[in-house]
Amino acid sequence: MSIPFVSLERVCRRYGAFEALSEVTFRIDSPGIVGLLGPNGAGKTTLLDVLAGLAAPDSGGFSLFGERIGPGAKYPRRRVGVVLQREFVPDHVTVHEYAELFAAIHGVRNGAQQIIGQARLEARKKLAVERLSGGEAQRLFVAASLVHAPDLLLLDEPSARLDPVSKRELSELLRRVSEKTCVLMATHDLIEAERACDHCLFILGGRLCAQGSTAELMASAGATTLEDAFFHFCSARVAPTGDAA
Amino acid sequence: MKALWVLARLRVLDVLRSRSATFAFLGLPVLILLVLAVVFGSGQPFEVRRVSFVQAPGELDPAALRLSTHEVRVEREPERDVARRKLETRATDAVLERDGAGILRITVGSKDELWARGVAALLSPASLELVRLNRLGYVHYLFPGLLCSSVMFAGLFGMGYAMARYRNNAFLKKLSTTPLSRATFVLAQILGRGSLVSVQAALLLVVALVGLGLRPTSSGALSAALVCALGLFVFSGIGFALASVIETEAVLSDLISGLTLPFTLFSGVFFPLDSLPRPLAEVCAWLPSTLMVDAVRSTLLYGAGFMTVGGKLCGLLLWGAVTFAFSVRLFRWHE
Repeated sequence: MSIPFVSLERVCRRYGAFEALSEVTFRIDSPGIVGLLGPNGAGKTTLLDVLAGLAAPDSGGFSLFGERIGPGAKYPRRRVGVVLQREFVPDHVTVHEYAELFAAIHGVRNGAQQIIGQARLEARKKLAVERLSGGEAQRLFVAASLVHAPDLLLLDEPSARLDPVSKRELSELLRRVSEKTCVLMATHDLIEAERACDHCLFILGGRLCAQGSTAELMASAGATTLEDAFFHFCSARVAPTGDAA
Repeated sequence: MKALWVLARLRVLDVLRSRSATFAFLGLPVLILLVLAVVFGSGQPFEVRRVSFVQAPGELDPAALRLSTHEVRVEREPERDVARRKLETRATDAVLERDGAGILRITVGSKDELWARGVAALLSPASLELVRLNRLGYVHYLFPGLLCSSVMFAGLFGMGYAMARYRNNAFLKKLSTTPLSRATFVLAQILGRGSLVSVQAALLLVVALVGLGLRPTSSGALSAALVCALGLFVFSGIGFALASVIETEAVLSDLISGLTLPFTLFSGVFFPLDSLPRPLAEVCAWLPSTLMVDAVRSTLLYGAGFMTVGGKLCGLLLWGAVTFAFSVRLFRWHE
């Protein structure tokens, strides 16, 4: 049996009395794009924070690349890339400077050129990042998180504010990356997920409702779209007036 | 018309809904007024007359004791040159010393002749020497304080406010997902700020040298630069510690604004601390800003060596160690 990229076992995470994650268990064994799908407040960001080493589980545990992550264990930052839901770049920092920073942090020689090239921003490298379009900026953030060739890429709603063309471009970039890398992407855009994701995890109220390959989930729900499959598996938990997916 | 009122109401609520902003806007001016009333209730700081008595360590001269009973602050100064430089920079109003025959000589600026004649009559027999002082002398006195204020602002705002902003915008959170170490991050911030402050200080010094006739010794200038570097370390530490404890930029900004007032007013930037009520002066003498201003003034204006201001440097080092210990303990990459 191969060593899984990610393996979670009954992970719980609370904020005061609020249970953001409840008994979450899953594993990802191979490269590809895995969609973490659920409505706002479902626990997607909390789950990514746990996996990124930014928040510790209150109970349960998880492993990355077969190594248990927890108190005293060194988090494998050099093997993980993260794109946050809301990325911030200090004022006036140019594309090249931003790329240079992340290349330097990861110690990648010529990494800045690599980031700019992957983001296809050669012509705009002297421009301040805040002047890029949403799609261009997101390509830059994703490329910067890939500069050290991570084995696991965590993305929190990377296409949330993108136009359709930018979404398509981002999907193509992730598709190329996912040939060798495990890409775990949180999103509430089920149409986007259906096109991009090989596997899906449906999460609602901090609990996983269903998981499997995109095709399997749709087939077992007897659905023609991923959106229908989501409602099939999670409808019991979706409030009538809720904002599910 | 309704939009006008709604917008105006929102603008008012923008301040009133934040406790720190409300305090900064409504409470702080009243507090400052009350503090100033207590501090300067018995007169403005320049009413106090100061005399530097050139005398080697030992029992204080009877003339000095006599002056002390007449609301004159007497400071023993072992070196005549330093006493004269203090007179030039208006840090003291008169220099008193005994000549070989034991006769007291009073040296004052020509504008203080009338007051000096009164002192001479009181301490008779005494001779009077009137000297023409540099008209920019008080500006020279202010210069080290201005230099230190720049360092202080750079440390508090440059480090504290920037950290709070970076954390609120999740930039620190982003960096925490990378292999970047805390130490590298903190040192980079200090190095960046330090470079800017160095350029700022160099510019100020050039203006003071060329335009204001300031003539520090090279060793004095070097010592002052080292003190400023230490001061930046201390105030960066304070800024960092505040940013670690206080979460929002607005509250931190208000707090730093509130802090810089006493740091500026009661640290000897504009007038010597002995103008303040004694208990307040004794507390303020231990402020890092006071230690820094005193040390820079002594080295830059009065030619004191780095070792002469060793006590103040130790005080600054202690502040630096404490604030950085707090910073490291309290620092969080994200909320």
